[in-house]
Amino acid sequence: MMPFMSLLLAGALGAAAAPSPGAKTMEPPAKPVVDESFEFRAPDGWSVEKKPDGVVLTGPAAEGLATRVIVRYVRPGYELYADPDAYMARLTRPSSIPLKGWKNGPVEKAAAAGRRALRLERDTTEFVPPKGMSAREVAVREEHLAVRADAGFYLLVYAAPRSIDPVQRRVFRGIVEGFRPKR
Amino acid sequence: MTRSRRAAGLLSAALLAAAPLFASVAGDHDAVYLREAILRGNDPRVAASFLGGVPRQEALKAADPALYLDVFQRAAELVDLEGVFGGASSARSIRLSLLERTGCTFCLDADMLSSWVRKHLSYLGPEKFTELDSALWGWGTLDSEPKAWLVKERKDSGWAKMSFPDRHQLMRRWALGERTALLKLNPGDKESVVYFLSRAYQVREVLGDHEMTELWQRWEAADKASKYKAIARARGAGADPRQQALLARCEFAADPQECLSALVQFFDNLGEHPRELQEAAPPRPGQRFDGESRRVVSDMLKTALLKETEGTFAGKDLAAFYSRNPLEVRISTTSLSALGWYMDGNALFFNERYVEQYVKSRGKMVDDLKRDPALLQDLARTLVATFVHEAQHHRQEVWALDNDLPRRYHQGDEVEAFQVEALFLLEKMKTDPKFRAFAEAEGEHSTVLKEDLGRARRMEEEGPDYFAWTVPNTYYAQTLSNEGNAWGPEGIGRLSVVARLIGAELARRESLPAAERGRLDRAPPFEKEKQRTAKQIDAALLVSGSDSLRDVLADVREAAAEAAKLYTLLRRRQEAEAQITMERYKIIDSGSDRAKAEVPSPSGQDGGGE
Repeated sequence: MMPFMSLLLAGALGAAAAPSPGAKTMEPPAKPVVDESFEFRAPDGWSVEKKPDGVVLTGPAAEGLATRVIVRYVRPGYELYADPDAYMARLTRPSSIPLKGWKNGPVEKAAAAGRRALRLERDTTEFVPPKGMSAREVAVREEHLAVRADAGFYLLVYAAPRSIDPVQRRVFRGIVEGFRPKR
Repeated sequence: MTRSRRAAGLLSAALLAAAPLFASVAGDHDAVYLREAILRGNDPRVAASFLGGVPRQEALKAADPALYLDVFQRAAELVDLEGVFGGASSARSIRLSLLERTGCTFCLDADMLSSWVRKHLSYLGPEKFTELDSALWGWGTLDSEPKAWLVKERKDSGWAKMSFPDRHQLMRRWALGERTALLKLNPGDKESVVYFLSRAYQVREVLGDHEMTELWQRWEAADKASKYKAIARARGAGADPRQQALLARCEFAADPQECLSALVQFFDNLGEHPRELQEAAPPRPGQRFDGESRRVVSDMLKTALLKETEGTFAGKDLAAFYSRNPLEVRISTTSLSALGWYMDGNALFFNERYVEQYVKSRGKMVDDLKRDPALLQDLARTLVATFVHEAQHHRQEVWALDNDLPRRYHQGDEVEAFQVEALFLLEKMKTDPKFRAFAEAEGEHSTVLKEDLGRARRMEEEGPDYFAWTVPNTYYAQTLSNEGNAWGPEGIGRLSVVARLIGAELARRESLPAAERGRLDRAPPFEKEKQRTAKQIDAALLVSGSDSLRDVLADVREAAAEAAKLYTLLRRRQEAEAQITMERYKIIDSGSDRAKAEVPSPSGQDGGGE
């Protein structure tokens, strides 16, 4: 780090031009989230972060932890889990790390977008803030939905603080109902 | 081929991919399109596409170097800014992130930012736009307490026209006052502890995590005092005057610490030593570090930590790394809320307050850490995952130094450190039965250990991807992304602005009469070390010798050229590290014989070779 360069740059900041980002604004429609592999309608007020092969949705928070839904297309031959059965087997096999407050429900047959799927509910925990001196443990409820595709498969993973799970789970159900796979 | 050579090969391949690839056709139409879409339109999707295409960047650089610098800077800024609103972002994270981006093109202008978000991030719903308004301290989104304070300060009428940074400065004044008031409170029962917490959360909306440390400490002490006071009341003091006095001392204590001290004695007299209570209570004589014990225990802890990493992939990396690089472990006082940290140099730090809490929770003295190997080993086992995490940051620093690159800490560094840490702990749990037995028992008591084990389990069940999907915006909103660094305080955009300023001053001098020009040519040189403030620098530019300004201009242009290269190198490094982590994960997960497995070690990335 060169202190001189920092100062020199700081001195120049005021001179940075500020071109218009575009005068025309749009109304905020509740647009569907469109990915090359799927689309669905994001709940109002949730943020959407695009990732390779999917999106991370973030919704209301409690106890410092936000509700999170990951919608992801898992490509054929993915090295860790190639299909819904392998995914569920990975999540439900005996863990090397037993943790109090973590518990898996049974893997159930389900359906989403008219396709066969596997569903798992589980209880976990997270700590906020991470690696801090005053981290607090938050009880979390998760639902993992693995939806079959012609090639590869889809994952819809929901996680929310248990205190707001009943409300947020209904929102997740809405996401699943609007989920439209393309593969 | 040795593992280190394979790693070096991997890295070389990654770096080769980043080498200049001059496209045969630097289409003018692309330059026009990029100027329109990125510089005028601020379109983040076009920006992301541009940053992801090295050949396209090289083509533009060859055709129009100045335009390339402008386009690259804005593209990085736009992609970084979109990230501010992604993931687990909240009003607070958005606000704190924006305040880190001083000098951005438009992100601190509330109207322009709102327009941009609505136009280009329209996939965010209406409630997110309200959240943006809250992030920018929109009047209608303020809580009643700060609102009342602002009215009292007569700032309400001008609020709408006030800039976001000015609003934030006022909100900080309110929050710092509120923090002072809260630190004087002595919540004694559960209801008042909850009330204290709700007010602390309001303050947290304004202040950074580290500025909250004292408030959380106060809350934690009050929370524990309230909990154990209720238990003590239920147990009752009976006819024992000593116990009655202790309970009364707690009931009428001036602060939570005094109450906790009384409660520790109360339970001691019953032959009970609740670890949670002992940990929260004020230290007794001998439970605080002094200079000598700090130094000795730090050295002993270093040895114990390195030993705990043995037999793992991470341990092998660290043994190689620290055979070439000095390491200091320091137990240190701090106002940071972090358990451990790495800044630069060769020292990894641990929060002294945590180590003291650990000693207290065991009912021991600091000097017992020197005398009792089991006590020290348990401490090392509790901290070892954090050690591996921070050591990864040390390796990132040395990688930059060895490659003659400036250090640019970014969100991806944290993703990488969490992955390495979680993989290490997973491997440790699978291969070290003694550690496993300790962790299973201690995980019941230690928040630190249970948190780390949770991450290791995420690694086991969901793989390395879990961290890339969750870490950046959930936990590191105030940290710039790689793209953010590329245009940020020492990034390419700011450098090109500086270059233009100096260029303009030199051009101005060309138009001056010869005598005046000669006077400026003979003026004292621009002294880099002498200038301390932005104002001094601006003033110095006008009166410094022309040759020295040309020298500075050359330095700035060179730095600008390096900034884009650095961005790509960091991106490639991150990809190579992720590949190595995945390969190791598969081996650990399958239970293969790691000794025979041909897994590349990233030691070559430390720049030293073996």
